[in-house]
This record gives sequence, structure tokens and C-alpha cells, in this order.
Amino acid sequence: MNRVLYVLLIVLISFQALLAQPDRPKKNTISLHTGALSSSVKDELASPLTYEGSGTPVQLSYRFMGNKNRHSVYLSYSKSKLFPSAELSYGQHSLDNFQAGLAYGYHRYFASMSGKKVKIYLGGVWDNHVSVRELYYVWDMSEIYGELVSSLDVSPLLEFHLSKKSRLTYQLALPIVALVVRPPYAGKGLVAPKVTTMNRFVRLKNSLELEHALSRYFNIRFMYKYVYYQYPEPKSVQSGMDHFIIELVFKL
Amino acid sequence: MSKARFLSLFLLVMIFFSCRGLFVEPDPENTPEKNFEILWQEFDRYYSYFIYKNIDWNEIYNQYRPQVSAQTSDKELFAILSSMLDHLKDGHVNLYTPYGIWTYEAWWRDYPANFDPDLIKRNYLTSGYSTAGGRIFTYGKLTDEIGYIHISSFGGSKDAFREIYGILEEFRDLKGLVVDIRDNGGGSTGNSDLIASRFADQRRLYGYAKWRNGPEHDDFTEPQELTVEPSEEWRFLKPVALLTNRRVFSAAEDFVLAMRVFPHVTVIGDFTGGGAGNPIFRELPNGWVYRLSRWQELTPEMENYEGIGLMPDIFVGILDEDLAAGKDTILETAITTLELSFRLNSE
Repeated sequence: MNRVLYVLLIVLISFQALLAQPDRPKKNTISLHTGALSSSVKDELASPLTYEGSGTPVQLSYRFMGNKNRHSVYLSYSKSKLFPSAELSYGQHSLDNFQAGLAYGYHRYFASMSGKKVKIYLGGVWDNHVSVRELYYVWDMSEIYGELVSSLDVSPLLEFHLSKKSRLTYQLALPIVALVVRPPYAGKGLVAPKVTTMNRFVRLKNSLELEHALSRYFNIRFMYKYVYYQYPEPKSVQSGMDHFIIELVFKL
Repeated sequence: MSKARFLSLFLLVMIFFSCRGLFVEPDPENTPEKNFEILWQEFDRYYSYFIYKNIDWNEIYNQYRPQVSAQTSDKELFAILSSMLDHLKDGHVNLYTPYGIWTYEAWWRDYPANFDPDLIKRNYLTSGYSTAGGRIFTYGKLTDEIGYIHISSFGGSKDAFREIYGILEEFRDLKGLVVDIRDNGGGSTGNSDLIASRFADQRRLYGYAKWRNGPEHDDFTEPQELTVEPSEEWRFLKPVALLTNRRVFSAAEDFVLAMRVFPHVTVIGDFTGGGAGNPIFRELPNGWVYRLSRWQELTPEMENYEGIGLMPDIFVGILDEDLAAGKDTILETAITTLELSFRLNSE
């Protein structure tokens, strides 16, 4: 108990110290975002057709923006409702697509490649995400599909400093190694899922964000994020998602 | 560049780059040939009874594929696909189209009905009857000692099926019960297990299931145990007669499998329909929906009952002359069996 109190005290003192220095640039931010997402999934275990629809993403993130490096932690969740691309002659099929993720990113500044207004960082992301797709069909019946992925991504990050208050950032993440857990060929959860393969998971995750300082304590971000991934086993799954996001950033 | 212009440009770029479906393969073309190919392939990859039923699916492809061309009308395609699926002789295989629903019915059509619900209400539930669970349950008393519950389906919400709790409470002091599932075509195993658990004396194994789990027709998982757990609620452990006929199918057969392992349950009537497939619904590019079996269910003795049905403990049929005389001989056998067990228990 005493140890917890000490830690809390140290955290409090650190925050106070940070806030007590008005001229020092704020390097730590916590942000909360929401918006709209548009999703397209083709999971051959579930259906030979593509399911499409929209939903809402939410994300809580922490970023440390030092002079030489960047650290970031993201906790995200989204839910979208998808329907088959064809109009069905019997019943209505739909897919609830749940995604949850926890990621840590580290980027290091490359001065030799950077200019006055453009800063280039290179780093990696440890990305963990779980996707649960519940397919509903007639008579209130449903089946669960999805995957669990843990990957190490290589990630370039480009910052364009438009003005003192505005910044445009582009980030790309591509997995170099991944651990994927998919349901078995039989699809049904009765058979325990297993780790099927490594290095056969293809994902393209990129984002373009425009950040503008509103005050000393708040920034606002507009973001477009595109995520695509595919995995071939035991049957092919392909998923593409557009995120249109507005994010409020609290500077600590 | 002004800020407003820049923001507009940024938003435009965002919309321009919205590429949700950019890398996702487009759906197959909606042509008669492609719809045929997909249906054939889907069955080839997922259907679970090719080898058990000795069906050469490639041979069937060679027979039917030449009949389909770009000029084939939807109606003609429906007829061709229906004829192709008929070879499977499987009550769990269906094709739903705007031109009708194709379904294999020989598993019950060529057999005696062995059930007339009006006759039971008229001649046996003479002190009246009630319904519950949105008419899933019809129940009443056959004698002062024996209650009667008919379960018409296992499809629907769990809440509807929980209404059996109240019925069992009403019958709690009776000496025995007739559970009639004749003409119950199935639904959800979750619902059938929910009811079976109210009759379970202990956790019992009632069967196995092998899932089709690979592209080869003989790719299956190891048999998975199917068990029934006793309910935490009060359970009916006095003598029970379970009535069956040929139209008892699918999840209703899971119910028979689960109930017949309890020592206080006797199955009386005709064989069940023999639908052991656990089907899944899928779609074609033209929006037609189809259903196919994707597992093999086995009895605790590892016997496959697909197309055969489950044998009752006491085989009884209703003859036409009995029906004409207003007699349900299956129900009467159940009453006699229960009364005999009351007498044996009291001795």
C-alpha cells in the first residue's frame, strides 16, 4: 500500500513540475478520438460474398513527443454493422464487426534526412488487435469468426510543419513479423483456434493527420486512416477500413 | 494558402483516398455460370456427407455444368441447381430463391404421419389445455397422474423456451410426464439442451460431432463430445415418455439423443427423420441463399444416423383404422408404459 502511495506521489509531483514551467514546450499528450468508419470484409470462412457497412471508432492515446524520438500508446475499439453486397432472396444476413487494439509505437528522428519544415522519423510499432465478426442469419442464429493478431511493424513517420500552430503527419506501418490466430477451417468455435503461421500476414496501416493548436492545453486533430489486411489460412480473409476521425488532444 | 483552403484540400484528399474496397477482391460476377460454380465449389469445400452417402461430386459437376450457359434464365438455373442438390438426399440442404424454395422432403413425405394434434386435444386433453412460449408449448393433463407437453419447435428465443419452467412447476407433483415432440423439425440445439437440462439426472454424454475441416471430402476433426448438463433449477426426474415420429429432425433429434440417455426417459413412437448435419446458411452473388450440412453427428455408440433416424425404445405406429377411431396409439402406449412404471416403482 505504501509503495502505491509513493508512486502516486511521484507521479503527482512530476505533473506539477511539468505544469509549473510555462515556457517549456509540452511533450506529453493524451487524446481521445471518435468519428466514422467504413468497412469492407471478405471472409471466405463466413461467406463467399463481401460484407460492407459503417460504424464508429473510439480511441484513447498517449504520445510523448521528444526532440529526438516519439513514443505512443494506443487503445482502440470500433464496432460496425455490415451487410452482404447482394440483396438476399431469403432472410437478412448481417455481420457485427468488433475490433479492439492495443499498440505501442517508437519513432526516432533522422536529422540527416530531414529539412527545416519536414521531419522524418523511423521506428516500429508493436500492434495487437483482435477482430470479432459475428455473422447473423435466419432464425436468430449466429456464428463467430475473426482473428487475433500480434505484429511487429516497421513504421516511417513524416511531419510537415505548416505553421507554428499546425502540423501535418503521415504515418505508415507494415508488419515484418506477425502471430495470427484464426478459427479453424470448420469455422465453429468448438474446435480450439491455433496459431497457424507467421510472416504470412499482410497489412497496410496508414494515417494522415492534420493537427492544430487551439490553446496552450488543447489541440485538435483531423485524421484519415486506412487499414487493410489479408490472411490466407485456413480460408482467405480480406478487410479494408476507412476511418474519418476528429480528435481532441490534451497537452500535459 | 489560407487555412480554410488548406483544410478543404485536406478533407478532399481524405475523401479522394478513401479506399475501403481498394485491395479487397471484388465479388464474383453475377452470371449463371459463376453462380453455378460457386454453389458447386461451396458444397465441395464444406459439405460433410459426400463419402458417407457415396456421392461422386465431380461426376455430378460433369453432369450438370454443361446445362448452364450465359443464356440460362434464373428459372432454368433454379431447376438445374435443385436437381443437382437432390442427389445429396439431405433435409438440411435447401436453396431459397425468388422462384421458390427447393427442399428435400423424402425423409418424412414417404412415411406415415403418426401424429394428429387436434385428435389429442379432442380425445385426450379432455380437461382442457394451455399454450406457452408463443404457442411452442401446448400442455395439459392426460390423467390425474400424468402431464402432457407438446413442443412444436426448437427455433426461437431462449426466453420463449424458458417458459417451460412454469409448466414443469405446474406438473411438479405429478407421477409422470409425456413429452411429445412429434412434427418438431428442429431449430437451435441451445434451446433443445436448455429443456433437456431440466430432465438431466447428471452430466451425460449423448453423442459426438465431427466437423468438416478441410478441402478433402474426408477431412474431419476428431469427434467432439456432446454432453447435457443438469440444470441448476429444479429437475423432473420421475418417469417420462418421449414421443417421436419421422418429422422429428435436426435439433429435435439432438433433444432425443440427450433425453434418451437419462434412465427415467423412454422413447416411444416411430424413427426420427435422420438429419444430423448442423447446417449453415450462405449466399450466392445473385442473392440466392443456400443451406448445407457441415458436420456429422454420431450417437454415443459412434453410429451415424443421417438419413436413417434414431430408433425409439418402443416402436409404435398409428394405423389408419386407429386414427379413424380417434385413437393415438403412440400416446396410449406412452400412458400404459408410464402407468406400468408407477406400479413397478411402488412395489
